[in-house]
Amino acid sequence: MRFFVEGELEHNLNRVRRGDQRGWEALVELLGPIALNAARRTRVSSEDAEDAVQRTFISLYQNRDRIQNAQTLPRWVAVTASRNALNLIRTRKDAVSMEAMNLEQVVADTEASAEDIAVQSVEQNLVHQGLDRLDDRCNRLLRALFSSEDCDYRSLADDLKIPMGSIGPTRARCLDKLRRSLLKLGFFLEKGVSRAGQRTLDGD
Amino acid sequence: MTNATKLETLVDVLFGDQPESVLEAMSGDQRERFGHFSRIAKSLREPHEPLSAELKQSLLAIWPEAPRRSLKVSLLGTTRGFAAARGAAVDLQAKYSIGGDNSLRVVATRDGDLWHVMGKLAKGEWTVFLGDAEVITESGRFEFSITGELPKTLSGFNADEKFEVELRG
Repeated sequence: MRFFVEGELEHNLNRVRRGDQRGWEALVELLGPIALNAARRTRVSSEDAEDAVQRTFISLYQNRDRIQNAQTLPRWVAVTASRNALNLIRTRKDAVSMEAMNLEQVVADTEASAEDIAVQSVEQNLVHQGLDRLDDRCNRLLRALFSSEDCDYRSLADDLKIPMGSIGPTRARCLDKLRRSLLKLGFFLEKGVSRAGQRTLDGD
Repeated sequence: MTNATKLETLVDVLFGDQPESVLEAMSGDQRERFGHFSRIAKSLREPHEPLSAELKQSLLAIWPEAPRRSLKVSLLGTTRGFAAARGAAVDLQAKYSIGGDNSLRVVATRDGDLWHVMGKLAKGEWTVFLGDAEVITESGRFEFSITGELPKTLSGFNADEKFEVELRG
């Protein structure tokens, strides 16, 4: 995974428009994880999330010539994937009346927070990309520490071949490295990506 | 308190190893840094799934098996025999069929090392690129100058077709 570099999305979208399959492969790589995690945040099953992502990319391909600003793509795929997931929830709602009350709440919650889901998904993707760019020790340490509330420090120290007493200072340095790399990208200036032009494709 | 100690204290608070009240004694800059850490932590604590190989494959498979129709020709060849020169200012004029009854017409004039190119597509909505840069089109017309090294690729697409013209010096 990579950070979006300036012009990368536009370059690959242009490739797609010209019929260059490499552009499509790059967009799948860049935007697929954002769409998947946005769909998952709506609390659908893994299978439905994948279905929602697939619909999102079909829509992206069908609309490739209508996109005015490629920079809005991360946000667009996140919003579209979460809406597609939401539609699947609606379908379930019709089919499974027993759970109607809960599903209605889910639908209401999800609609209300569709924009937040998009922002969080794009933001999360950037943080994970930043993590991937850290050295192996920092990457593994931070992933382990944040993946579980009950992280076993002794096993972690053994695994990383560092004294247990070094975990505290090391985690601080690693986290600050990640913070500085995100700071350079302007990550903390606004919510992940610009909201401007986010409805370029779906027009609603 | 050294900078390293302050950093460790902030991260200790983040992981719940020290109470948040210790932040009160910190400067505004340090509290801002803690805010950054909190935002990062929020993203990292949420489940994050990579694309499975199967899903990735299914997304790649959306790419159509049959590509758009493609046309490749040399426009600015050293032999001008194929071009019907029209007047002294026009160095090259060519018309290509690009599918059905549609056609691409290109007129190029040379000014030293610079080529001025104008074109028109007979029908339909097309988007035209010179390399990776979109060439402004209006009613199927486009116009640009080639200042860099040749060859360059002029390409256009609509919903069903595309064309590519290789511009050679």
